[in-house]
Amino acid sequence: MAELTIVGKPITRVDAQEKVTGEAVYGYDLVLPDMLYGKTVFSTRPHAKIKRIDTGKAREFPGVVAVITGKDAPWTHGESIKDKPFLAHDKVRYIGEPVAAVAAEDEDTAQAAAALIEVEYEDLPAYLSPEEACKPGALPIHEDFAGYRKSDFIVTAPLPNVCEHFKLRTGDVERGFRESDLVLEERYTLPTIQHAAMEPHSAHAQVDPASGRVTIWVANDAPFRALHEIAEALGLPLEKIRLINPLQGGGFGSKGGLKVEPIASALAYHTGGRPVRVKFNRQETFISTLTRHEAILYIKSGVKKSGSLCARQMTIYWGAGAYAEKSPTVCIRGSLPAPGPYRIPHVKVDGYAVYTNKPVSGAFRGYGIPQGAWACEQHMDELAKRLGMDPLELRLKNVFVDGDLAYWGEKLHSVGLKETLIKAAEAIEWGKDDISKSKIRSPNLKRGKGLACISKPTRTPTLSKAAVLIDASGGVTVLAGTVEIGQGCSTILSQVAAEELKVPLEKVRMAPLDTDVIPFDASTTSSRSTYHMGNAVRLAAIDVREKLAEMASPMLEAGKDDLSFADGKIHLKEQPQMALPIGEVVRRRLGASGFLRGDSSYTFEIGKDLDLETGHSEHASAFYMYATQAAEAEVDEETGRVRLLRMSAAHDVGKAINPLNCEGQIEGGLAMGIGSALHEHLVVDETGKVRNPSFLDYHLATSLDLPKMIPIIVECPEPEGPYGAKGLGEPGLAPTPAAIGNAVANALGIRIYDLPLSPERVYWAIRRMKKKVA
Amino acid sequence: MLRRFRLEEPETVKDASALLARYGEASRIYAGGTELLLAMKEGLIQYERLINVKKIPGLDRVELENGVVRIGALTTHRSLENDPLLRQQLPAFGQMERNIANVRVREMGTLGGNLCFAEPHADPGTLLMVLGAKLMAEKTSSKREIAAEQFFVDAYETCLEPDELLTEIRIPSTPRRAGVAYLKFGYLERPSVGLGLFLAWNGADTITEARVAVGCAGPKPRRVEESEGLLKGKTSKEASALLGRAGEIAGRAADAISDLHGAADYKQHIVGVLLKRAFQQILQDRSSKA
Amino acid sequence: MAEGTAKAEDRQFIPISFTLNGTTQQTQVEPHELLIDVIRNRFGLTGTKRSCDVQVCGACTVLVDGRPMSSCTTLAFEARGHEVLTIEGLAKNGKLHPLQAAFIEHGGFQCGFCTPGMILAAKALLDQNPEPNREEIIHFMEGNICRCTGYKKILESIVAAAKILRSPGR
Repeated sequence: MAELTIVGKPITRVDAQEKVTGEAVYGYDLVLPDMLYGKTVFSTRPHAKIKRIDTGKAREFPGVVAVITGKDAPWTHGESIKDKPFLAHDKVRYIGEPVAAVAAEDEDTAQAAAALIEVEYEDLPAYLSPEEACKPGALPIHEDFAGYRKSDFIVTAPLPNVCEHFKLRTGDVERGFRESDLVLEERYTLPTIQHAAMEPHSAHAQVDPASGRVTIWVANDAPFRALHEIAEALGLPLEKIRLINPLQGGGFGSKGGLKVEPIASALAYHTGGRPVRVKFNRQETFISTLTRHEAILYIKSGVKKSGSLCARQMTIYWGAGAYAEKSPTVCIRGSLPAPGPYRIPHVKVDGYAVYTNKPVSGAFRGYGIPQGAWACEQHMDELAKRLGMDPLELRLKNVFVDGDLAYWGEKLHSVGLKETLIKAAEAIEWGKDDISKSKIRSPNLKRGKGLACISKPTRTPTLSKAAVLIDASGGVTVLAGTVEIGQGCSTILSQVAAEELKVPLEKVRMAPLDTDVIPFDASTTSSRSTYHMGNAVRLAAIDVREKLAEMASPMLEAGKDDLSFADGKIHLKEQPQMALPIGEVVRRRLGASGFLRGDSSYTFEIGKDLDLETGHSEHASAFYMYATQAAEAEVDEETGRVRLLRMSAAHDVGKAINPLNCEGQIEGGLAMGIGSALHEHLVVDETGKVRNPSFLDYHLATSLDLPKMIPIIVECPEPEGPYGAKGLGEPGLAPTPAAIGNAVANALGIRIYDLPLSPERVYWAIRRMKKKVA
Repeated sequence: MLRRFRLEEPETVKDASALLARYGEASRIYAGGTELLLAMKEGLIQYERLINVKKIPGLDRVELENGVVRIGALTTHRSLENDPLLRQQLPAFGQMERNIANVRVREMGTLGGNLCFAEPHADPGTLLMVLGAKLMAEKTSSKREIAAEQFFVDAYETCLEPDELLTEIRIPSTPRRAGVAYLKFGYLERPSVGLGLFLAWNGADTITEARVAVGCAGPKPRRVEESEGLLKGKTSKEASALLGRAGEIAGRAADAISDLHGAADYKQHIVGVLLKRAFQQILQDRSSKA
Repeated sequence: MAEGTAKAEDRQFIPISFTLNGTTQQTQVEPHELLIDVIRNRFGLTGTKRSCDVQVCGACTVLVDGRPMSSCTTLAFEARGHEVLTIEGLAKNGKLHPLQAAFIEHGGFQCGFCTPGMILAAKALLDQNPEPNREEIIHFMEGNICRCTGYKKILESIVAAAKILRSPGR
């Protein structure tokens, strides 16, 4: 490979100027000409039949243009199960479900009118635990489940309320347990949490009365998927719908799927062609968008005295909430690697995604990996304790290395896991506990260290297309459907284009994301963009570069192969002074307004879906991300407060296209992981109501809460990735709670099985242990 | 979204009181607004009129007079945090102010407003109780002095009469042989438990006066005389041995409720921990001063 | 229109004059109008963001006479006679403020939604305390929430900007 000029450099962000000056316009800021203002009415019951909706007073309210209910929106949608109505049809399934909506001339009017809508309910029994909801005899939350339109990969189970059953079958776990010297079974749980991106949710929609064409402006992380989902629901051909993606103020998975989009589109059919904006405030965002899956995990392992893992069995209940949304795929892709990145001959996993009468669970950074890791990685430490082994040693003995056959049937390559384990451990002086413990200021304070590691697949196979344009001024425009959600893709993809065309970064611009002009991309999810779209942009840049060389060849009187690119120019390899600016080549051939275009399409071609019976695939993922995080914690035994002293996070990124950005992703993920470990819990009470839909009571990590953070970039190149790159967006928070849980257990000698590690929970655990000892 | 209301801007306390008398429960004093506007935005409370008292001069001073620190009710938390007089005379109070909410709330919020709103999770009331503070209330026809202990009636409820305004907070300077600490514990935005401790002792290291107050855990802050009685008359060493008992009593007295901030029994326990730590902190301060 | 408890004929307009990003503005506001809405809707300055709406996150931070305020919970009439600075007024003649430059240089933001409030809070800090230590920075900034960065690079940005602002010749 030629020497890299800009890839691999810690370049500052290309979207920096507008973000530090306040010029950046986000979806939440967008004002369209002649726009109406929407307001949603939400269900106040967790599970109930709708007896009657009275919209009369709202309709008569001055300034109201439209009032709609489920009767005006007879459509349903869903990523893989079409179970969710645009507005509730004859029943509601959670508190916060959209039931009706108003469009009015201003926001205050819409709100006042919405308050006048009366809904009469007839309550049904509500299920608030996934484990309870799938017990035989439980009543169905979706009576018509069998009749819903579903994707082919959905596997159901003969249990109530299960919307997906994932099965992994490798070897014979019973035999494995028999052959083990030690068998341990445990149960771990994680509560519902929320993404809480700083920008709340909103969507704008307009229906052109003449053509029936629907335009939606929404900061969705998967514009093309949203486009398809809405078109499918409305029965529209794709050319009748357009999605414009304004800037997004954070997502972390929450801005995928459809939340506000259906309400805005349904309203737009009743406004006489005027655009309508539906905006959720923070409270509405908490109760009516998406959450991360609560999970209950049973894990049982058999291990030899030597520390070799023989067998592992897991049963996982994923709380889907009231609608399936992405639960089937979270269940599949979260359950698959839940037994951990280890060589285990006998593995059995059953994952159940289960409907409950709670807010809808969706994609959340990590897509099921944090849940599996919380169980598996603490379980590993419990095994190590019983074996008398160091937790690091036990992991080093069992972790995946190059050439291993993973338990899902895939031969692994480019595995940087061991290196992440060693580096993360070193960074917190693993094994030097005595030095650290001697620094403790008070007998109430106990210190400990812990670590946890993960591997994460990416959604496979998926497609990314891209185009790269060169204009007559030498400007380069990249058309890519990756969404800038803050992760820095616009910088990374600009770097890739600049690298291949050898132009200064300032010459590259990213085209705004509009599905009318941007080529298809699967989604900005699953940490897939650097790899997939990085490849696509690289191929499109190469395509346009080849065309340019062909064009320049007669101008420079040289063969195509004798030409080379540097500093925005094309020149003779042997005589670099014989050069033409690339824009000049375009201008001479195509005129001052001409441009040259390269196109590409990238997919990991050998990627294969999982077998529905065994969960096996020879190529389940285009690449795997590996990471280890290590924590040093101090626990106040009198209050139960856990304070983190330092945390290291070693991530195998393949190749850091932008190290500054990689560090930012690691640190940000770590902070989010720490929040989920110590604080975050979306509390749904026994009546199904979210008790803390506010930043006053849903605590996000602040600068006060965070320890010294040590990000470590490990580069174990992925041959198929652009310049060797893998992905990085998600793993930052995945092993964090388990690493902290292990540090707390190391400090106290107590295992805590449930998140978050709130002071109160930790304190009572200490008390229980002290009582037992006494 | 705030619902529409009218604004009155009196320039004297008497006028403000007259407005309160005239409009009754449909009106409310507006000072910093940090708690009031939040509750109004949520739609939890509504008023036809807000009476902005910030145009009344002289209610934002901090002065020392005859050993009493006089704080105007409209003084913001932020200016109290940075006030040199307060730092010198009542360092524990300045420290408490420094740790209220965040800097924006402290810039906007006033001490008087904080007390009058009587949000159960507020810090100042608890500390003022152990400092022996007096709150000055005024209406058109009269003025009176209210002991901090008497001020809070329930959550969001004070003993102020409908047309009375809080104008000043008077805190006696801490004697030479005395120490004060305010500690709080929490894990959400607002504290779960707050505890104030005042100790005075004589030359023979006998505690001559002890004041304990707990807040945040229950509907209102309160003094705990029973715990105080245990500590009073003891040497610091004897008192140390009684802290567990005193803490248990204070925990029970806190009237703790189970909510998002913790279960009642956990909060009770934390009261005890904070009492012990506040005691240790005062002794440490004393020995470092010596 | 807001359906308030006050009668419609009682609508009250308060004439206010204030400085917004260095320019004197005269307008009328109703008592219940919030500063954030006036800034965003009347003056079109959408750099001031509404996120938590309860004074916890700091995305709506503006400086009033140099002091950080939650514009989401500040009545608009309170701007009367004061100098309001929003993020749009920080760069002078197209030249970024050292804090803005430092946030870019040190990667102090990702999605950028908290950034205007974050930078303004940091400006208030450095104006009051040109050489804050780490504890002082964290204590001042803890009321500004960022969900993307993990704060490390924000703190580094502030330290770097403080250094530049203190450098001789400025």
